[in-house]
Amino acid sequence: MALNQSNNYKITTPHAAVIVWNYDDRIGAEGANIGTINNVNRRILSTVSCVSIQTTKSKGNPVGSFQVVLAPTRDWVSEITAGSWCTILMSHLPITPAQLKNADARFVKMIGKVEGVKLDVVVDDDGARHSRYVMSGSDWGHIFNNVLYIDNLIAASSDPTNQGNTVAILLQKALFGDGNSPQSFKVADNLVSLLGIFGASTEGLTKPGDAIQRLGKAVYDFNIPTEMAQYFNFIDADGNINQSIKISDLLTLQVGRLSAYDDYDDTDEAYGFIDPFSLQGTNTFWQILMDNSNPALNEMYNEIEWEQGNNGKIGPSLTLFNRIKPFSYRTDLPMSAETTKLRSAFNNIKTHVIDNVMVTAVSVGTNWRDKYNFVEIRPQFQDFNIIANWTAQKTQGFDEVAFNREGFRPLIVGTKQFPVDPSKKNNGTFDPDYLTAWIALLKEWYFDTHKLLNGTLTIKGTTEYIAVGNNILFEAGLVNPTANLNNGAVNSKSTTYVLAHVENVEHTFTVQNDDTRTFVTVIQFVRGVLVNQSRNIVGSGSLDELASTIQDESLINTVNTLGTSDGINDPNHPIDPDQEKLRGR
Amino acid sequence: MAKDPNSSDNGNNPNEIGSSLTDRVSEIGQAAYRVPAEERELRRKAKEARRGVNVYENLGDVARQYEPIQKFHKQNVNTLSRTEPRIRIGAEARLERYTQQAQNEVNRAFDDTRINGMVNEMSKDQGVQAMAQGMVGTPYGSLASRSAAIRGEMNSLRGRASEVTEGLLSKRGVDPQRMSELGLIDRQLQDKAREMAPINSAMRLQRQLGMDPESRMSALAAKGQAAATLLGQSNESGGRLKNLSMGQLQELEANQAKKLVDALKELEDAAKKGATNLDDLQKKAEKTAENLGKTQDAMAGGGGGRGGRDSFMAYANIAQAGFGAAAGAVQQIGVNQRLAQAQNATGYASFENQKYQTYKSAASGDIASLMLLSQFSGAEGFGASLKGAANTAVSAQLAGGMVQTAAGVVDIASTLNAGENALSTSAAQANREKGIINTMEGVATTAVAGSDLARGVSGGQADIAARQARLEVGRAINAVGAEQMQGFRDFGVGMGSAAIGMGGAGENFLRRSISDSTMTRMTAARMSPEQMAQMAQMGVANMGSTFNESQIFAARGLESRGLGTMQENMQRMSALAGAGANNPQTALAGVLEVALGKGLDSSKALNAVADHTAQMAATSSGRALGIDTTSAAASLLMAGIGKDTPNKEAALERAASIQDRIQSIGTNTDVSYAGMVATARIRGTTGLGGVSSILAQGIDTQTLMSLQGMSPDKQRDALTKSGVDMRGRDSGKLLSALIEDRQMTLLEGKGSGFAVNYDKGSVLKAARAGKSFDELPEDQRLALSQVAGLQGMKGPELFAAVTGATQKTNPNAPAGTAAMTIATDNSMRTQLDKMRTMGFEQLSTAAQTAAQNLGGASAAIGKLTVAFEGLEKAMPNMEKSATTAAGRAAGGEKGLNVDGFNIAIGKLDKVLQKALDRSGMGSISTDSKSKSLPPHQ
Repeated sequence: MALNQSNNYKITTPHAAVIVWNYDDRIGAEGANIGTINNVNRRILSTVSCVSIQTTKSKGNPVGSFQVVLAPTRDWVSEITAGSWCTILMSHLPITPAQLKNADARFVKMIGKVEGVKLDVVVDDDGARHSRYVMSGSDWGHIFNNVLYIDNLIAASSDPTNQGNTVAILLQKALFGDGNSPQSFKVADNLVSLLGIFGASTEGLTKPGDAIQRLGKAVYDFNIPTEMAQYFNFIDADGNINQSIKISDLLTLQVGRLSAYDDYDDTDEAYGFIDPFSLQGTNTFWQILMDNSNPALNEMYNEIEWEQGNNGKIGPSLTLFNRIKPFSYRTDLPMSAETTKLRSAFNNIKTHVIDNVMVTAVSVGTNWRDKYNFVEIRPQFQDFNIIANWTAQKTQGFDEVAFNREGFRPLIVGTKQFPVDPSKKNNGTFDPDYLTAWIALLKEWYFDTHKLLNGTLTIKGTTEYIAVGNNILFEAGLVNPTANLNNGAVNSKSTTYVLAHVENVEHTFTVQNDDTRTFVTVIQFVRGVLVNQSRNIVGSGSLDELASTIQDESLINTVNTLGTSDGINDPNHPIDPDQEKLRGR
Repeated sequence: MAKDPNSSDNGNNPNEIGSSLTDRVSEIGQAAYRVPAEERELRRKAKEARRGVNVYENLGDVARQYEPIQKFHKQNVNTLSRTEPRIRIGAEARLERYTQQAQNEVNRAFDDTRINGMVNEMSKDQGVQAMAQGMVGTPYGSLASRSAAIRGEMNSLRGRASEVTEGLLSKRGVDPQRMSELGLIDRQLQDKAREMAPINSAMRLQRQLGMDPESRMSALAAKGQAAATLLGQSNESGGRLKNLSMGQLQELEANQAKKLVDALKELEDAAKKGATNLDDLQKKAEKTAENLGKTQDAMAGGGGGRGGRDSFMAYANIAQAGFGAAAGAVQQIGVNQRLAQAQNATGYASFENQKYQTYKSAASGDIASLMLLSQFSGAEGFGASLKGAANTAVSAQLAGGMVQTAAGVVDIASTLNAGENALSTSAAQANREKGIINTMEGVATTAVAGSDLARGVSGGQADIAARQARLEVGRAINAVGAEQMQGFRDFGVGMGSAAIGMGGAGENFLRRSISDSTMTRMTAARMSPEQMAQMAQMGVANMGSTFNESQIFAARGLESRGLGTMQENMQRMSALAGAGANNPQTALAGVLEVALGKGLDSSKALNAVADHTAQMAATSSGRALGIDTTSAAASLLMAGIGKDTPNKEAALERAASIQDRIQSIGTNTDVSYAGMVATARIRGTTGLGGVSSILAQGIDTQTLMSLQGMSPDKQRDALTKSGVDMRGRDSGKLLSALIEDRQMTLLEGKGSGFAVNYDKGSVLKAARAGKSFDELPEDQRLALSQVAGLQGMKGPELFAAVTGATQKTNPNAPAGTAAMTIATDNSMRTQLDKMRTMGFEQLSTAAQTAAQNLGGASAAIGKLTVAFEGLEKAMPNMEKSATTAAGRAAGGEKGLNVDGFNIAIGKLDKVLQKALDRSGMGSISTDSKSKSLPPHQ
């Protein structure tokens, strides 16, 4: 991860292509043919046809999107079957047949699904006809937006409190199987069970459903084309290449606390149970997952993780993250033992180092609106309602004094999962003291946000796959040549960097009229802190607690010609800007 | 228990008016405990409020910190203070009101008007009338004295009934003992009324016949007045004979005397020949006598120059004496004999009616009646012989009267021929006077006796009296044997009634229970046959197929040991049977095993134990599989009660009240963390699948415990039927694991155990090691109490539920079984029990003796059946002839001539005698020479 600052420039030639596994069977009203439904023809859309490609992936949305503008070299509307899987390659490296045969982390920027192809024809004032095709779609996260439908009519929704209920039994069978696989009640295990619901089916409902001509299945298989599976060689949770066509086999869940750089431990921070009845009716899979993710402590998002498999090769892993929020950048400040057990250090997040040379624009700043002064956890664990008046005393944290200036800025999170002592393995015992720890963490994560940097970083494309939820590291000098954002930076003798959290990544590849190609990546980041080369915070990491901590003279942008005066006349009340300098003296 | 229509004391008692006192008071009792809608609503509110208050108290400080809970608590307290006094006052007032109604009912039952009505109603009974006939001869004073004595006894009964009624309706319900006593008093009242009925009838008859002191006085006075008037008039006027001379008068007097003798002779002859015109002849004789009298009057009135006041008065005195005899004769013939004749007719008709009633009673199962029926022929024969004797006596009286008349006539004649007989005038006068008196008395005697003979009055009276006497003799001789046999018969029929409800098992039950060994057991258990039958009927009604006669002995054994009455113990067994106990007796033994070991031996406590155990067992899942969970339920119920528990009854109620909560915690399959953890634990520890785990979790603790004591095959079967996959599993190990899982689930307290962070594993270990709550370390005691507290319990209670799940129950229940045997110790209680039950033992011994006389219980039933079959065979003819028997017996077709009496009904006793002889019952009364009947004459 050594920073390469030696080159002041870099010449790049971006390349791009789109591989579409185009479904042959478009499925008509008469119904799909099980024999041909997954038959595909691979289409490779190169820069000959691609006019532009744009992808967007955001941490806050499980579904990313893309848009490919195609030249009218073919009738793409009839060529491309809506609903076909595709992958978008963009890189500074040349795309060779090897990259078209197997997925390569340096090229793949998105795995998606075509939602539609549209033809736009415009006749300009000169009477010239301009045609272009727009192929748009979403990334693989759309599977989480799939609706799970359990027919109440078949499932007999009465008595939704007993495990013996039809729905409860069938869903538990689907979730845990009918053998000896007891629930652990850990949040992570619950999510694994829920992920397993893909591809499983509730057999008990099928027959009665058939009998009354209603949909008897509750869950559905989500298959990808065989050719696509062979192309990607997905790495599964065990590090093996998995060429299964079932998405459920390919999904990997990443949970726990970041205990070291890009290293998670299996912290059992919370327990809960999957309420079978919460699955009843229509719910998106994402809703169900979120419901069981303990959103008070965890963040859930999906990304492609490029990992080294057991065979030594790097391959993609379709990963669902539900890690403890890794926003503790002041790990130098001690907290209670309970809190420490749950603290996930910010600088342990996988980090992409941004080459200065590639940066074309930076926009950075603070936002008071990110700031909270009140946090509350709303426990929704029904078993412990009996001690609700006790737990309620542990579920709020606030800065009452701040209310007077900022008003009431609440962050209220509900959770059906309850805290346990994470140091004890397989301990499903509710520990209210950990609610206090949770609150402490929430305060740490959200009461300082207005002192952290957020903004966008524009670079000239990237060969590396920059994932949302990761961090980027770039020189603070890109923001400000003096890098004097806090007192620590002012006093630091070494280069200061900004370590920021990637919230959104947008790639844009364009083929100009003159056939030149541009590849631009825009990274939206949040929670930027000042660190040194080793990603350890400089000073307080954030802006100083007191604005007056940095002396006036330290605020001078030495690079800028319009710096402030040295305050000779009145150091306490400098003239900004320096009138003399304005006059060019 | 409904009345047995087959018992001798059946529900069709003609002497009972309307429903019994106990029925009416029972109805009042039922009404008394019928809670009005308004009060039900109040109770519901109070119950909810009470529950709220309990929860609040159990929550302790936690609740006090929470304002809405405090507010809710305050509302609850207010509700309680408002509702509970109203409920209490309402209930008390209701009980008072109904107690007063019951008192009124008792007062009505003992009201003079009702008793008189009842007695009058009973008097219509033929049997009563016959008895009254028999009592007509008893002095009126004696009857009146007895009647007054019975009245006094009735008053005494009324006082006792009033006392009993006062405490009849208690807060706990109708007091069964008092109700039983009231029933007894009512029966005694009926008996008294029955005793009084013939007495009153007899007194009434005496009044009608003028045999009561008042009538007799007034009749005498009236007769004397009439005679005096007649004589006075005759003496003063002299009548139409006064103009005749003395000689003419004397001649006339002789003629009249001769005519009178002739008339009387004619009357005598006619009477001897059994003529029907006796009345005419009698009138003729009377007329003659009258003429004679008139002649004598004329003579006395001064005819023939022998006038003079003195001589007239002398004749008059003579005549008065003679007319007194004549008047007496007229009274006897004209009134008394005719009345007696009517009474005889009634007596004969009554005899037939009595026979019909006896037959009817016999058909209803009255052994004494059955045996008596065979003796009616004998009674008739005996009556006939006495009738002949009476007629002989009357004939002798008739002859005497005639001799006296003849002598009188001779005397008179001699005075008329004084010269011939050389008698002085004074001597002649004296002779004539004597002759006249003799003549008149002789005429009167002759007329009365002749009339008696002709009408059969005395003979009939003797016949009827003899028949009754003969029957009485039969009754007396058969009394003991019949009563003994009655006891046996009622026992048999009672058991038969019980068997009615037993379906196919009834026959075996009867063969077992109506046996010498059972009767020996009854005697040894000091029970009466009636008790046995009652208990059997109660047992069948309440326990159905699970009933057997041993339970009755067990109940009696418990009674003898002061563990509640037989009824209570039968009810306990019934409760357990209703809850699924396959053998209620064993179940009760199991319950007692636990209860007695913990010092729960008061009847109240045992009732509560049985009820609560039954309730637990009834709601157990094992019940549906036919598993008897009562012992395990009892064990769980009393797990937290020890010998040192101060108020065991209260502790028991408390334990019962929290069983639902414990059950709810233990079998929780809610879609909740605790519920799903419980199921998942089973999956983990047993390897059972999802559905099996859910269903295994739903099996209640007592069922799991009960299954542990069963054979592997049964365990496997029951678990499979419960939906637990037993394929390839060891049922014993699985049950052990399920019990341990259940204990852990209890310690988790439906989520509370997760909220209170404590070492559940250590507590579980301690519980399984049999430690008590107090032996736990303080931190565990605290934690456990907090878990329990959050579930509305106390720590020891929850711990007891956990330890209770591993308590082993001894299927043999030695202590419980031992408690079911008759106490034989020398305690005061046992001694008093013996004194109390001596009468019952006697009844059983009597019945047993009766059975033994007929070759044992089983044979006796057969023979009794033979005897009754005899009656049954005679039945069609009996009913047909009985319709007119009384009329014919009374001589309706032949006037009042009872000599023609010949009853078709008489054939019955011959048939019956044969049947009795065949059955061997005919020999009952002939065992002893002292009991032998008078021979037929």
